[in-house]
Amino acid sequence: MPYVIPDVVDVKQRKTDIGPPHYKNFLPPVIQKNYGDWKTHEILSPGLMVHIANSGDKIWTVRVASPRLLSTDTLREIADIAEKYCDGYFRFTTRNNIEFLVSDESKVKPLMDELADRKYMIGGIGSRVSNIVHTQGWIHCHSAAVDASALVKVIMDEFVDYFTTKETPNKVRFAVACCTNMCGAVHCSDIAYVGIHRKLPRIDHDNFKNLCELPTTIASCPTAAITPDPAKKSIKINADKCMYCGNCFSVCPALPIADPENDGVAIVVGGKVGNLRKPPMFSKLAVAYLPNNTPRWPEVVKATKKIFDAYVAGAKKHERVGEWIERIGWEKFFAVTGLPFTFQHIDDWTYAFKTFRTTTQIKWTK
Amino acid sequence: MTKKYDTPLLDELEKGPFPSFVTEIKKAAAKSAMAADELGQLEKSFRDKVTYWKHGGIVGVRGYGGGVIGRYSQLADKFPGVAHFHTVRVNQTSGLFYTSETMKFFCDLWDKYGSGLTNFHGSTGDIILLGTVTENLEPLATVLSMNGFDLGGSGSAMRTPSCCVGPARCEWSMIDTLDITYDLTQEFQDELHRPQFPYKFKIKTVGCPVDCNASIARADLSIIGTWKGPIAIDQDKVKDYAKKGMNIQEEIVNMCPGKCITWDGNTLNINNADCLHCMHCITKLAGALKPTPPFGAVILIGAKAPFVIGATLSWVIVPFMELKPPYQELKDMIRNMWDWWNEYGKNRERIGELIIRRGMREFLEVCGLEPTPELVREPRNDPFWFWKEEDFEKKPWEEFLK
Amino acid sequence: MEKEELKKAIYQLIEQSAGKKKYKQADVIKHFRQQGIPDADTKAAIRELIDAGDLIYTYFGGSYIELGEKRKGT
Ligand code: HEM
Ligand code: HEM
Ligand code: HEM
Ligand code: HEM
Ligand code: HEM
Ligand code: SF4
Ligand code: SF4
Ligand code: SF4
Ligand code: SF4
Repeated sequence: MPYVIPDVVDVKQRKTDIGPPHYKNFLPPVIQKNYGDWKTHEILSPGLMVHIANSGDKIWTVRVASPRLLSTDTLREIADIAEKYCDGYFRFTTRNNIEFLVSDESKVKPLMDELADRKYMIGGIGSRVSNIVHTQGWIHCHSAAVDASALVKVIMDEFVDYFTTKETPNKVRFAVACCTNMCGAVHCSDIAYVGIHRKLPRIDHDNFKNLCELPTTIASCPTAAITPDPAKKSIKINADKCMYCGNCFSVCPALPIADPENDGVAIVVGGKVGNLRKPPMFSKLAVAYLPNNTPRWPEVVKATKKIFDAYVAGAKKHERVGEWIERIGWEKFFAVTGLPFTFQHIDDWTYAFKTFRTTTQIKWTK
Repeated sequence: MTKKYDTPLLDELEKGPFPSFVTEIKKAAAKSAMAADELGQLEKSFRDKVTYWKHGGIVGVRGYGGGVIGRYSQLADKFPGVAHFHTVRVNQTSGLFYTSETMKFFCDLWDKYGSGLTNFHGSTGDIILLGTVTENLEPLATVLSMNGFDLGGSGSAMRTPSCCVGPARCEWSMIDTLDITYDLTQEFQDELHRPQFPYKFKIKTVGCPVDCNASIARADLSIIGTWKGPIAIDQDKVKDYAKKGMNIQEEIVNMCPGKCITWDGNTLNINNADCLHCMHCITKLAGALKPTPPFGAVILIGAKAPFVIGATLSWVIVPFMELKPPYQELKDMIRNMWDWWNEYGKNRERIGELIIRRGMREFLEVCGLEPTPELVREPRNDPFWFWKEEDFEKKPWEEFLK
Repeated sequence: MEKEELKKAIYQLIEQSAGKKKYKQADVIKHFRQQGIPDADTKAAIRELIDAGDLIYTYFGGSYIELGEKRKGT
């Protein structure tokens, strides 16, 4: 389909409710032919797999990493590469990787050579680290307690060998959410980072009446921590109820919550979404707070390395991080990683008691 | 020439092997004043360790209530290029497939109307075009529609549905995830573009229990393919895996949660009656084992992030639904649950929270669903249950007296 | 109620509550249901008001219906 971008646009021509175009328009012919009729696949190398159809047809997939934030220059380059080797066909994965879809085996190696020459990072397929799902951070969001893209960059730089070559006992899925709204999907990842605020929003009483609507502000608080303060024509925040979520700031700019000294990063571990072996699991708190040390968050990288190395050393083949921890027990997890256990690790939210230990079964670690 | 900023902190993030987002912003900044100021403001965020964005809830395009997220800089005087820096969500195609022609269209479009910065893709699945001004929104939406694309969802609406790669390139997909996603997106265009719910509603479809799109954790309505037939076994291929060094006893038999596999060094045996349909053996012995029909999907409801009742994973409401076009049973069920949610839900109350508040029974009745043991991990363990008038007429024990 | 009359009534409801109470689409529908107006009619009337730009959807921790002039003001 030829695309058009007229110089002068008549906005009355806009059609509504047309939805996205049909996906068939974007599938390579070999996929259209073998749609829903695949027999098997083989992972040939960390960044290359081949899918084989019942008809005998094959399609090769070459996977490379992307930072998700992409300029049009880079996108054009990707499109050009796809044109050269893949008849123009490529796709993205949920984890922001780019997948070149090659129908002609003789083009696989030249494609991989050119990608390597151009410094694309090839890998991420199979039992290893894949790209990191993440949110917007300081690049684009008003709620962010930490930057997201930067964390992705420093963590992937650290574990790059596990993307391109080395294996892990099973997949290790990282995620970053730059505030507790968690636009990303961090609560079910092997290792995930959440940006956190630790102090109440500061109330700018003078500006409140100019900038904010009282009912909207009160309604914005998920924990009902906000009540009117008629004397000041402003609001009060109940310190025992506030969870530092920042929703109130979203609707009322007179309630800034961002705080360079106290904002930072929490690390949660052991979640998974797949149903393989064990049912899906939530991530649980491993590190309650690490400071925002820009630009490369060394404490976060170090803490992650402790968790990652202990997992690689201790897990049985095919065990995800959460399965490994469940087998060895949380007391042992804190012992082998050397991470400190603090009051913040003991739940005091709605169903806290569900996580208290109700058995005498305990492993001694010291 | 666009404005240039010194960015010593961000420059540190161009070092190291992983592709750098800073490099991407710099590439765009060479051409776009918006992207240049984005870079400048971001450096300041890194220096001061805070975000400098403001929320804005009012921008949009005529007729729609979603698809554009208003974003303004707190430092508009200093960085005028990002005074307005709105996000546009474009409904992706099922499976995230592209042709180079399509991608170049998006590049030309975004160089003309925006900052040249994008996300492929946002967490919901949409194509994210980062950074444009209010005046460009109507022309942008018009050109998109002229070329067959439409905006995605935002706000208290059905969000852009998404799916795994499914039958397009995965041998395990037991439902047509791409078609279901396309069909539901088209069916519910009104609910996608005009926010009319208490809060957001996400639908994610995956082809099998591996759940490559994290449907069970991220969608209010999770549709997960599964099977009822036995697992077909190619014994020779299993033996190949053993020969190539796989320890079948350790890696397959001992890790099967149903404890239903045996291996005598020659033959793999599966007691399908005890299989939990978890996909472990099938994914690890790719090509040797495969699920067989009947195929369908488990339908689950309610996953959401932590506020207010804490995070939840989706709960099973239909253990097995056949999904064949036009998916009428599914669509009717979705409409029924929306009506109920609209009737009783409070602002910002997700459907899962409403189910907890008013009870799973009411929800199941609204959807016309029966109680079955597959819906629970175990029956209740408290003695506080309710009876309704109509229950007194039912005599379920007569069933087992027969 | 005639459609134009209904549209006027909806507009007035939003106008009079501006700054005091925010209405979601479902709230408007329920409001007119009490006056015997079928849900579908109210929904159709809202749609016309939105398409014409007289009313708009806004987002403040949830989507609401507000006066169209609010967008022009920013
Ligand atoms: C936020 C969470 C996750 C996201 C966004 C995600 C994303 C992805 C993506 C994009 C793929 C590639 C699929 C494709 O070809 O398009 C994939 C594959 C896969 N994911 Fe995930 N994933 C997540 C979590 C998980 C979890 C928790 C598991 C397992 C328990 C898992 C298991 C797999 C498997 C088995 C595959 C396919 C096999 C393979 O590529 O070797 N993923 N995932
Ligand atoms: C009070 C609550 C929330 C507010 C104020 C909020 C605000 C926002 C904003 C402003 C954005 C746009 C970010 C950007 O592109 O600039 C966004 C994106 C998003 N939000 Fe939220 N959000 C909230 C809760 C949630 C929750 C609970 C979830 C889900 C768990 C969620 C999921 C998302 C997703 C998936 C995106 C897209 C992010 C991306 O594409 O990377 N949001 N949210
Ligand atoms: C321990 C407390 C946590 C709570 C209470 C919580 C809560 C939530 C909630 C409520 C959602 C629903 C999102 C939605 O409404 O759509 C959600 C989604 C999500 N959460 Fe969490 N979460 C927690 C921890 C985490 C952690 C630690 C992560 C990650 C590190 C995480 C990552 C996610 C992700 C990725 C999503 C999916 C968002 C989407 O794409 O829709 N959550 N979480
Ligand atoms: C259907 C609901 C239940 C009923 C009607 C019920 C009733 C009873 C009764 C009458 C007793 C004797 C109390 C006594 O000797 O002081 C008892 C004891 C007990 N119940 Fe329950 N119960 C129920 C459910 C449960 C559940 C779900 C639990 C635990 C999860 C539980 C745990 C206990 C325990 C630990 C005792 C003490 C046993 C002992 O002294 O050896 N009950 N229950
Ligand atoms: C379904 C929920 C109920 C549970 C779980 C429950 C549980 C118990 C338990 C654990 C005891 C102590 C028994 C003992 O000391 O041996 C008890 C005693 C008692 N319950 Fe209940 N009960 C329930 C409902 C009721 C109801 C509906 C009534 C009355 C209408 C009732 C009346 C009594 C009385 C009178 C005693 C004292 C009996 C005695 O002292 O021997 N219970 N119940
Ligand atoms: S996680 Fe929070 S800070 Fe990050 S993009 Fe989402 S709402 Fe914004
Ligand atoms: S930060 Fe969140 S919990 Fe605290 S007062 Fe604001 S809205 Fe309420
Ligand atoms: S969820 Fe299942 S069907 Fe879909 S891509 Fe993943 S493994 Fe394949
Ligand atoms: S699918 Fe899972 S439960 Fe079923 S036989 Fe295989 S490993 Fe066992």
